[in-house]
Amino acid sequence: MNTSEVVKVGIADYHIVQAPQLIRTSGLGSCVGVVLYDQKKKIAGLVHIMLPDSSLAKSQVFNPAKFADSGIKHLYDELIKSGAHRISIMAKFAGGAHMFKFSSGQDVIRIGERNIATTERILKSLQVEVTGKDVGGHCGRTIEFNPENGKMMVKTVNQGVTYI
Amino acid sequence: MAHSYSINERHHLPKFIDMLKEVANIGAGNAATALSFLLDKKVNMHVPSVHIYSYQEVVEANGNDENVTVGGLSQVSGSLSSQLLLLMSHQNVERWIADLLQSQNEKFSSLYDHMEQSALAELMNMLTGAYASALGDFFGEPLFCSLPAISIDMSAALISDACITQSYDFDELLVMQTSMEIVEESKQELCRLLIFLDNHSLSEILKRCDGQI
Repeated sequence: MNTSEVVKVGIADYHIVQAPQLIRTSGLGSCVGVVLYDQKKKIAGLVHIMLPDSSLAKSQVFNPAKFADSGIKHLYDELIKSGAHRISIMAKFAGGAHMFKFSSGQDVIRIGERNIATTERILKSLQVEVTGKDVGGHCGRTIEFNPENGKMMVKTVNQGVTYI
Repeated sequence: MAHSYSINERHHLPKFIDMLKEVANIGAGNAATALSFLLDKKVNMHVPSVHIYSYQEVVEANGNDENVTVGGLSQVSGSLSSQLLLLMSHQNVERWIADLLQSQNEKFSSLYDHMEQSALAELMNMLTGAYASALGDFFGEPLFCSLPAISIDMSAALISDACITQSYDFDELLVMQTSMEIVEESKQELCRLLIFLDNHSLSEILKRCDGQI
């Protein structure tokens, strides 16, 4: 019987888990859920970011997990502190959808696309290999990552459950 | 001297919450009347609530985050700007739209079909429009309300997307919320209206309320 504990990550938040724990975040719209993991150490962290760039934050003090750039870097550092090896860290991410399409083209701010682009740029700058992603489109996603086997479950309303 | 109010000035808020509730009441009352007229049923409206929530709290306050929900998002612009999100349960909407189409001798197929989507947009437009026009009347300035963009998906994805543009400013946001139900139908919740106010609009509303309420 599988009784693995599932750690839930909220919006603009992050957590780190060790197998047999699972880590999950639900209802990603244009937000992106980024998982960084070390397969050998069976340790994984997940950050649920809302916005691309922390330089656009209007206040000096901000929650790093809210932005892709600061959130991913923060998670990367924390994962290393928790025992992950810099060179073995890999990434999977999902989200960045566009939920509401305005007919009159008012949706100038396509935050989802920018979240995806920034996530990719930051992971590249950290030299983290991306082993899987499920991004864009118009559907909400729930993700659950298993550090035991490095698989990420992606659940959507219309396509059901897939694993990447 | 005109004072500028801000979400961050927590100590000001308690005395303004009642003002905001009154404002929400005016908008939602008008929307409930429109809905009652449209469905030809008696609609009950709950007293609006005003909260300061973190993004996670807004989602949690609205039930299971993976619930499939029908959402319509309108952007209110003019002297106030805000996001108006209308949430309805999938089952309710299906029933409504089926009724609505039947009265036009059309057959209901699926909420994702063209005809149904168009009826749904029209329905949501009436509600959000009624809300915005009541607010506009109250302030004596016209407010514009965009045609709602519709999405049928997990409630957490809909809610977080509706307020995401405001998350640049703060880690918390001000939410005015109202729900409505049909009286005869065992008080089952019909729809829920969520208004996300940015700092500027909050300040504008409170300035106008000073002396009015």
